[in-house]
Amino acid sequence: MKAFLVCISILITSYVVAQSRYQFGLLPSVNINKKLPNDWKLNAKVESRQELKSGFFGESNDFQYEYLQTDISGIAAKKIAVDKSLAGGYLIRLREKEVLHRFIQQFIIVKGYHGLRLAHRFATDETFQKDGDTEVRLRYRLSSLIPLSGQSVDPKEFYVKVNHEYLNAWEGKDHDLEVRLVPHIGYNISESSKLELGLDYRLDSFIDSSPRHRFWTAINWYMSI
Amino acid sequence: MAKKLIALCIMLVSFTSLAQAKYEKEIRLKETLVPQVALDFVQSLSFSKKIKWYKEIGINTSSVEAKTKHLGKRYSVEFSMDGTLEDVEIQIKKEEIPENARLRITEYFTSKFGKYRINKIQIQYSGDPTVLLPFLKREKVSTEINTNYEIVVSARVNRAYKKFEFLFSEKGDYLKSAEIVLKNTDNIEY
Repeated sequence: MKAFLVCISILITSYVVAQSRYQFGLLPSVNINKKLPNDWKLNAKVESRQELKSGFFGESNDFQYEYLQTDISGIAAKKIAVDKSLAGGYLIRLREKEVLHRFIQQFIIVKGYHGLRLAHRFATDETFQKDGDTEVRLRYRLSSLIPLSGQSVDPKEFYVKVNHEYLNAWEGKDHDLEVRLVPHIGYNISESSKLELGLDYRLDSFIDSSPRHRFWTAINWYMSI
Repeated sequence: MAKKLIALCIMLVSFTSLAQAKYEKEIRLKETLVPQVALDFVQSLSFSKKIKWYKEIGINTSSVEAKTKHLGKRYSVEFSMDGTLEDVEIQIKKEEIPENARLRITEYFTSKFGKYRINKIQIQYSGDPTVLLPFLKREKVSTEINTNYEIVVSARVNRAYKKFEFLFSEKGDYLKSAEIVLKNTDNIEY
């Protein structure tokens, strides 16, 4: 009976994996932050996405470089408590043959604990495209920051950052759920500069079609000016 | 006129004391690097849980600190770099401060900030280690111990949210304060 169940599990797993699409690539980003008077803050970000390999699991695919897109965004945030802020901004997505426009709204709570810092980000965004319905997303992200030395992340110290996010997306009558898990190892170069390397794993299309797994090697540079 | 001048001076002194910045960097410290006298004191307290040692670097000073949890409370024992005991801090709840002192502290914060939030309270004991040790082990009550309350508060000052660390006496009198330099959290917000 046990052997039978194992066989069934292997068959189901191989079927699911065989049907699943994957994408592997690079996701470097530069994040510039500027503090303004009266608890205002500006964030500018440039993120580029490049594909190195894609296909279906189980297939043999060669590495093939392809530039996909660049996102440029600007967000203004205002503190509404010592640990809470409201933010809003705009993102432009530049692809080879199309340009997308996105409006972003965020509510962020940052909590400090002994040897751990957590950030809850509740966000909505609306993406407008020339030929297609507007996409509306409702997102929640939990970010954990764990210092690897001492109880807080100080200059010249390493840390671990893990982001876990759920994104509900509606486009016309379609709904999809995307789940992201992004572990990073980071280095705090100075009070105003951090460098992170991580794996940005994204799973979507699993509700009513074959799942898509995306793996991006993320390299983030955060700067305060 | 004289009253106005005094009020102005008090305000200036008050803002100057609030403007003092508190910045701390903590580095984990191997037990082998901890001064023996500090190790002996902490061992005498017979903490049941693991003790973590840190080197705490401030703007002008450095110290050695032992942190642990004991009987459900967070303990922090601070020494100078040569192992001289500075103080023992135990995290407590607001209700654990005697009523009279609590009322004085609440009055102070209300008059200073209006709206504020208490983030952390620690009762701080300092004194001669030979007196402090039996007191902390609940073997002996002593009047030779200096007791203060260290309170971290967040409030809106000059149109910006800030965090402060205050020190009050056992009776609830204000002793000193410093603004806490907040850590940059941009990389978990965006």
